[in-house]
Amino acid sequence: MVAGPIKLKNIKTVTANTITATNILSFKEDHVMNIVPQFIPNTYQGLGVLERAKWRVITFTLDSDSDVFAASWGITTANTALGTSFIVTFDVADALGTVETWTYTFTKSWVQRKGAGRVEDGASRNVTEYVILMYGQKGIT
Amino acid sequence: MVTPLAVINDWNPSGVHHSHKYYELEMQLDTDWLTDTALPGSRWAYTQHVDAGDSLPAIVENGANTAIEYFVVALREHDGTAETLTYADVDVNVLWCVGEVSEFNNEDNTAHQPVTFKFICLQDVS
Repeated sequence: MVAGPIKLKNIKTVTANTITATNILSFKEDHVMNIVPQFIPNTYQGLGVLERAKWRVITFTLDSDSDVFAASWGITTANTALGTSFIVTFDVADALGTVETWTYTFTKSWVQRKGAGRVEDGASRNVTEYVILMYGQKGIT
Repeated sequence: MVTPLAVINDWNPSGVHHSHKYYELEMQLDTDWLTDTALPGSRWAYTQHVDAGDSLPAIVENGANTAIEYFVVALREHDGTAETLTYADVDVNVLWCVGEVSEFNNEDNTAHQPVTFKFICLQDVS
């Protein structure tokens, strides 16, 4: 692999619960940190910050529904936790076909929301979105 | 932060309370990989030490974030004059990373990994 600021070309796969989806349209990871500024009352200078929580909101958009997160989504029952990990694989923008892998590991993670039904006329697809809450870590290789 | 002062039984606020001010900053990069490494796990916010005293990165996965010593942003004014904005001084615990967003889209046909870092700075810029 060449040194330098390598760019990613596209999202290749998402794997969870041993099921892999390849029909990914978009992916977004929002690493949310609830960090609150602290001030001395009625003065301008800050004291520091209070860090309350840190989590990730991860959004996958698929061109049609997939089984990849289906086991963790219940309409009439509580959602099941998403196992202990899921993996997102990207194609690197090089001629070698290199991939980059983001592995999220956690003890608890849930599907927070599922959006579906955006059937696009003439496009032969049913865009489906999964939003996942995750408390854990991400490793990149 | 300047908040309206409420007046009981009167819908017009009588003034404002000037409690505090701070900067909210965003920095968007087209890739999260550092320029001098071939390792994809070497990313600025997670592997670069932003505080020489603590030797810790800006984002700590399993712990509290570390204060960033300072930012220096070099830019040009409309007439070409160079300007330097310095956020925070050295090691005063007023500049912090408070979020990170990575976005990808398979439909835009561009090879990039836009990552946006958000910061707060509790001190005036110089």
